[in-house]
Amino acid sequence: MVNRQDPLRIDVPFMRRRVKQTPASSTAAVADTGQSQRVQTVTGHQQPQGLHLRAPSSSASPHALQPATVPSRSAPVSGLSLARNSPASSASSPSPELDAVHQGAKVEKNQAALLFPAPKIRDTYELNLNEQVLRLTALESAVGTLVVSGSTAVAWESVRHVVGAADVLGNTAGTPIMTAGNRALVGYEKQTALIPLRHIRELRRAIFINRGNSPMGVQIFNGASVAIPPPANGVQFVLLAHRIANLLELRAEPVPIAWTDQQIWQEFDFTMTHQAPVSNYRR
Amino acid sequence: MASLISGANAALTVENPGLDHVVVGMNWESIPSNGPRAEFVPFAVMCGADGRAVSNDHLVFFNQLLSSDAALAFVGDEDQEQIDVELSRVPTEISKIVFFVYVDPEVRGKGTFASVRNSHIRVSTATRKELVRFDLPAGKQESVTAMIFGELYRHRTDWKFRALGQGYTTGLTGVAKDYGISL
Repeated sequence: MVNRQDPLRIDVPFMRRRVKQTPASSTAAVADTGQSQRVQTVTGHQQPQGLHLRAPSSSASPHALQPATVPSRSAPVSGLSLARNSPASSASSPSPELDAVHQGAKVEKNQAALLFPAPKIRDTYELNLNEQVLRLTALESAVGTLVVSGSTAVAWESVRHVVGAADVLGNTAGTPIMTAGNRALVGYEKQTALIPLRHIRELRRAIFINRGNSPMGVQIFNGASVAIPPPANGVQFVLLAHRIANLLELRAEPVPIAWTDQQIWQEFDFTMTHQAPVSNYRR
Repeated sequence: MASLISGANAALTVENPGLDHVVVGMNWESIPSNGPRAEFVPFAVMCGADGRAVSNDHLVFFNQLLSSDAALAFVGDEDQEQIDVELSRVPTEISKIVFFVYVDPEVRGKGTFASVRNSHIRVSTATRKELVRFDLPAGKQESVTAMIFGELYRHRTDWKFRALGQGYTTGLTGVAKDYGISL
């Protein structure tokens, strides 16, 4: 399906639309032929052959190209929607920044709408094989600190794909990420792993590994908490904190107890990144 | 441009006929620090006639950029925080929109407004023409962890802005309790 209503698609980040410039003279020349005259009455310009993603001309007849019902900006979205909701919104927006906010928020809302239902943190006491996942609200995902006790190692990945790791003994690997508050985006404070949620939008995901005999515990600002059982019966649970749109999802992922941290990184596709040395040569 | 004092109000739509879109900007300067420092989070909440948040979908902050009715949008970065309000989109059930800033309750040191200087809130048109401004008075804020900067509120069919500058020592929790935000 091609959405011919909207000039710009931002909801498909891996696609880029290339607009072919049509010389004005060619349009005028085509308009002289009888065949294209019929087309022009509908679109105002020549229709190119095959698939095209060009925005409709401003001179186009609005009724000819409008669907029967145009979704309003605030209309509820059900199911998968790849279309911008309101072509008119960009025209009425006072600034490109605001328009970008509206579009970005709609993309986030669509992403959140596609998520399957998951318990909230107050709905469950423990994440285990039977109840593997919970999801925080937008507010819970953003206020205070996510405190993880009982973990022995952590690895993180930022939205810029900067990857690093640390353990409770102070060993580090990869690249640390500092926030504007001069705190690590993910790291240890004594025996406790912390994520300052003020900067949650910089985080893509983090995993917490537990080599001890005690369960891991997760606590958030409002005091709600959940436990992850310790290794047992050849299985250890890795806690995966994964941000989807503006929601933080917590998962207990079972892995073999014999796996090393490096094997767990590999399983979760964490490849440590390293800061490139900076040279002043030719600057 | 009008400068307000605490408790004063300004009739926005009466004095600016046709005004249907305003930008509310909240700014502050905090004393720089090389170590961990307090982080301030601007927030807006849409309240019903009872003065409490209609729902958690009626909040706007850095992790919820748009209210459910798309009337409020958060636009900001580390240096400038502003919230766009399309007055014509605000549902009639909303009687006021409260703007506040809280200190993020980080477990490694929450911080207070003691490190804040020159904070203000201002209301501008969509074209960034400043309509009203409220410079929060400097004072002892060593124990203040949240501050109500001001509010937009309905007065009959019009919109007004009231300067507040009301500090909380209980942070976001205190504000949430007063305004019915579900934490």
